[in-house]
Amino acid sequence: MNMGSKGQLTAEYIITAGFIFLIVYAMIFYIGEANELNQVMSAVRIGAAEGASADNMAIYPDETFKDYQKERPGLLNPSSVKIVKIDYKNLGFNLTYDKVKIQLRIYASAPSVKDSGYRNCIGDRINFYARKSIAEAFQTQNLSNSVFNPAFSDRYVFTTRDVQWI
Amino acid sequence: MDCHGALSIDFLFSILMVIVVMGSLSTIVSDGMDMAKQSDELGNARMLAEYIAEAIDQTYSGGNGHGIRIVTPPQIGGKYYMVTVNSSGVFIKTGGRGGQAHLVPQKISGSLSLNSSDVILLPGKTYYILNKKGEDGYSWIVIRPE
Repeated sequence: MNMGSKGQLTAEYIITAGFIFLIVYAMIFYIGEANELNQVMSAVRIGAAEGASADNMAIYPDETFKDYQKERPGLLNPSSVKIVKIDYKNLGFNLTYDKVKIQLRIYASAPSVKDSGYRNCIGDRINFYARKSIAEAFQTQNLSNSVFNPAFSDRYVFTTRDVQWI
Repeated sequence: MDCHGALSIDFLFSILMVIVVMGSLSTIVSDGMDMAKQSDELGNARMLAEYIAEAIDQTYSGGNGHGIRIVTPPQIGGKYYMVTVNSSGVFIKTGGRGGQAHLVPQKISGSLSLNSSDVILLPGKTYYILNKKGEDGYSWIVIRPE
């Protein structure tokens, strides 16, 4: 009688443990995907803020600074650039990269900058730092080109649309 | 025994969740801290350039004989930096980056002999900025280390 009870208990335990294993396995897959996307969006936010910060302070990498001295002196003055929001669009599985392709769009505001050429420069820098931040967060710098376009995470490949000024 | 087993699974599952959350948080926090540090460096570089430009403009507007003493910080965000001043503005370079603060157009010299030249300001030094009228009747800004 005692042996029978013990056997029944073990079977219940195995079934329960099996269900738990299946649930955990399924959850880990979704948690992993969601967690990776979450990490990417955090990296994008940090990168975009870094790009905006360079524009706010008007302190640029040496080559860019020299270029602006000749071509775009207006960008040598600090400008008030704010990142308003960051959006993304899933473009589906991309066979070329064997990853899911996602297009990022950053919305920013720069009321002090009226010139569209200057805005393009500022937007390109924000996008560059956003992509760079993704590549650095996932250690994929060697997979991409010098401007990190596209940027890679483990499961996704990212491109950026032109910054939307609002 | 059954109760103990159930408790252990709960515990292991909780630990798993904590590890997942901590793992993602640590990356975010680390990246955020790097960004904050970089912004701090850029901000300090900009403030130093503006501080020097403001001192020069004040000296200029103070007229002949007016002088201001400035002290440059030993470093910016733990990095070496260099400031160059000429009639176009104040230029700062640090960590492979550069910026410019604008000046009211004026003649800049590194010596009392009033030769127009680029003046280089180094970290951790004291400089005296003096407004001196030249023989040509124009006001010159003389920046000399003390």
